[in-house]
Amino acid sequence: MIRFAVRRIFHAAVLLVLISLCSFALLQLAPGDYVDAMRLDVSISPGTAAALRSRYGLDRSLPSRYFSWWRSVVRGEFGVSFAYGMPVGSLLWPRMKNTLLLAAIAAIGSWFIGILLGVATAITPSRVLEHVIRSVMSALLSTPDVLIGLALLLLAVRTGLFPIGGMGLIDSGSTSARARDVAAHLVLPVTALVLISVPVLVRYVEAAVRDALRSPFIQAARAHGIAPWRILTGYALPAAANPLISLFGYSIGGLVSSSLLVEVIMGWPGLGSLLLESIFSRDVHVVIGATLVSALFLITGNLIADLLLYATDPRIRVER
Amino acid sequence: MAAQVPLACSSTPLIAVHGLIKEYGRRTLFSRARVTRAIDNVDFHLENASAMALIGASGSGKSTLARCIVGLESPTSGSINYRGRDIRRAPRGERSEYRRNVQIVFQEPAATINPRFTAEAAISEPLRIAGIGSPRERREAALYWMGQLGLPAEYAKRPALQLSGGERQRLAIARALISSPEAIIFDESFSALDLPLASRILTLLAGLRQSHNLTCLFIGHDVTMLARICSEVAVMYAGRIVERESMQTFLRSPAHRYSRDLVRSIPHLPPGWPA
Amino acid sequence: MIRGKSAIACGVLASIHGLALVANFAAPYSFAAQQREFAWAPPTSVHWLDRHAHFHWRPFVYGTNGADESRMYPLRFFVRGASYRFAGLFPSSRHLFGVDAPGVLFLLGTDGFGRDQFSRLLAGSRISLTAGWLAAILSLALGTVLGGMAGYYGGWLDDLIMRMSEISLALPWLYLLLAGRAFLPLDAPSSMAYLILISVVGILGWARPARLIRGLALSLRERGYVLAARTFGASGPYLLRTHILPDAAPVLLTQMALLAPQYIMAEVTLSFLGLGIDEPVPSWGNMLAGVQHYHVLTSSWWMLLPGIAPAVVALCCFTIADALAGRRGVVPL
Repeated sequence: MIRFAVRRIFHAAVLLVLISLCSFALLQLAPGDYVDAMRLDVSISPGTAAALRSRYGLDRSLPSRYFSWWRSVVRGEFGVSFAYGMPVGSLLWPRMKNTLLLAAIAAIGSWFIGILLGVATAITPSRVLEHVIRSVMSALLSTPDVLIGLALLLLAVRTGLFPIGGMGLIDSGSTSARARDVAAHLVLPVTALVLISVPVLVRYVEAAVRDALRSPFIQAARAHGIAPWRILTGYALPAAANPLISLFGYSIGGLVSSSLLVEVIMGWPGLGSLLLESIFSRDVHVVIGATLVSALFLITGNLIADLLLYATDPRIRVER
Repeated sequence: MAAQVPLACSSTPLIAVHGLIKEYGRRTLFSRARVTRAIDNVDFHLENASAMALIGASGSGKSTLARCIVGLESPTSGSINYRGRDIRRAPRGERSEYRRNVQIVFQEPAATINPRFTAEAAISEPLRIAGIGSPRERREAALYWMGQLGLPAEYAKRPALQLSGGERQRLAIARALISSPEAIIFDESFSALDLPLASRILTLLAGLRQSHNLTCLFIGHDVTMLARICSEVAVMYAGRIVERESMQTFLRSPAHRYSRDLVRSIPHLPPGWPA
Repeated sequence: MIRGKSAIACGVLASIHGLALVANFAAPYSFAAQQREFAWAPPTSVHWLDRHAHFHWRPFVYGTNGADESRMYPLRFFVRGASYRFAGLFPSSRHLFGVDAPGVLFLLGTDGFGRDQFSRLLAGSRISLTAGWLAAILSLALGTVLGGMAGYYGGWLDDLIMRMSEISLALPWLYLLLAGRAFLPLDAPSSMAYLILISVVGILGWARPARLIRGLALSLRERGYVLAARTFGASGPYLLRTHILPDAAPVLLTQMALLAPQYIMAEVTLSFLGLGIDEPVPSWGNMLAGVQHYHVLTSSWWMLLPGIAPAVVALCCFTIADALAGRRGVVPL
């Protein structure tokens, strides 16, 4: 198990280095840099522009910029943001926590609901219920994420029930008051993310449970007269857990992607909104830093899923 | 059709295999060597116009040997000689000729013919691939062999999907025969056919052996059936050929432990039943 | 195979695409035409009963976008309106339906510039639909070639392609899209932006189809009839052409039905974020971009309606994909 984990971590590290390399290389191809984006402000003269360029090191060659970026990484800074004038690391850290908070809560919520609805669809004898759940999920799946986010915003605006925009961290006040405020601000983005993620989950869970229920060892259990509820919880669900654990790894990617959109629409100060901002301003170190962090999320998620799978599925261990 | 070579003069076997080894599994730097030898240093030869049986337990390597001979697998080492020439080192022209002249019919009838193909298209596929004959000639050849194998002519335009397993297996046999090969390997091909039908096909093959010097290698378990047409037997066990003799000797006094078990388990009709 | 729900879905899809094809004709106004006096106008109500409860066969609208009930403008077909080129070739100025000036017919309301949202929706459907389909074709083609080679030839090629696909799937797709988009010129002319969009979305989406096709190629490679053909001396291309690809066709079709709506939604997302198609060319995505502003959200709810169009298309495509895949249903992604 340790060897397995170490090997995966090594792969992950290689992957991250590759990504940073590719990003930097693509930089060279991209027309226009940060200073060009700034030049839309006409008051900046060419001389100032050139001076800014050399101060930011944008006029140096690619390899030298890459190496100084690496030195900065080692120091924990991950380069410097041109727009914010601070090390990218300190810029990313709080944003990362915000995105993690949002994503984690949404993940718990959507998996909970997804498993509930998925199992319900698979085992219910009522065709009506099955049909209703399927249709609602199909409709949700087809709705563009953008529309879901905007519609929720509209709802919030019309009813005035939930705060929109930002995280609402008031500086003063007790921790519990702040926590309540953040929670209130979380409702809308989390709901959006859950609505976006649940349909696919329900489909997968339903398919996995159905497959498990069809397998021969379940038929045998039935023939032995084991109670249906026991069969479900003791036999079918554990069997269905295998494909679902693999799914968990992949679903993190989707969650992180969708959270970007939700952050932008709802104004939640996370990694996604920062990324978008820095793309427009060509704040390249931030772009690379944010991309790497998101890749890190995913790779970690996949690693956890792989380890979980390794621990729970004896078949994988036999192969080694 | 295959050249008429008088039996007495063929000193070079049609197909000869020397020191053949086939290993599965990979030896890499990071994993321990988990290598299995499916074929372990086999020397084997097939005489022209002979009918030979290759018997062995499941997993003894018979099918792997067949696949190596036909070129579907590459042996790890050893040589495969066709009329005395090592076919692995031969130029492309000779290799294509070898492929045309040595055919194989597989075990599973269901998977052996593309269900979308019509019966006649399936049979004439080797000719199409080799570019032999006009479409009309190919169709006639297909119909001829369908007749020989007892398939009604109406089946010609039917998709193979609609034919039974046994019918599809007969299509496969017809397909093997259509390019007039010198040798055919039958890998458990008769298990899907009922006895009278199998018997009829074996008679056909015996006839072809007489008229066209067709060489047959039958891989299988059913000694009863094989004993009727094969004059020689080779027994394979754990990747090696452990016995090779004439069919009579084999049935009377088999040498290897496995062969003895096999011969002893042949069901005999009780006395009084017609032989 | 085509019956019931999927028949309806096909019909709806065909109508939507048909409308998109003749967008200039079907739309009452040109997508760029501004009528500033009607900025932020709500959708025009169409009536059959007038104030005096008389029934009119021909539906009508009231003047000044419904405010002035003294004037009635009946709906007409084949009205004269702004000129355009039908199918890019024939100049024409007939529109499918409309009302005579100074009456206005804004079926989905107008935006801040007084542009008819319904006309823009139709014009935008051309962009969004074609972008989605083209990207799906690109993605599928790339995935089929790479996956087919990986599955059929195996060995180091297979390892390489699989590793690359794992990397591609390891990153969150939207971040990947944005990063990919970011490294290309941000202010490109419309046609260029359109091509960039299709290429980025299509190319970055190669991994999932590739893995699917690879699995298919692997299993088909060992089929009895493929092996038999090899013993007759069949070449790789012959095998792919005659035996493997015909079996792969249903899978490819289902994938197409799954990918196209996802890529249409990718266009919507990208254009919404400002990284796709830009003004003044309408697309379903950039039409939703304006809704983010508070005042739009509070007072002009009809601006959200264009979002329903991609939802309908996606629903139809998923229904068809489910039907193609059989009773078990298909899981998207």
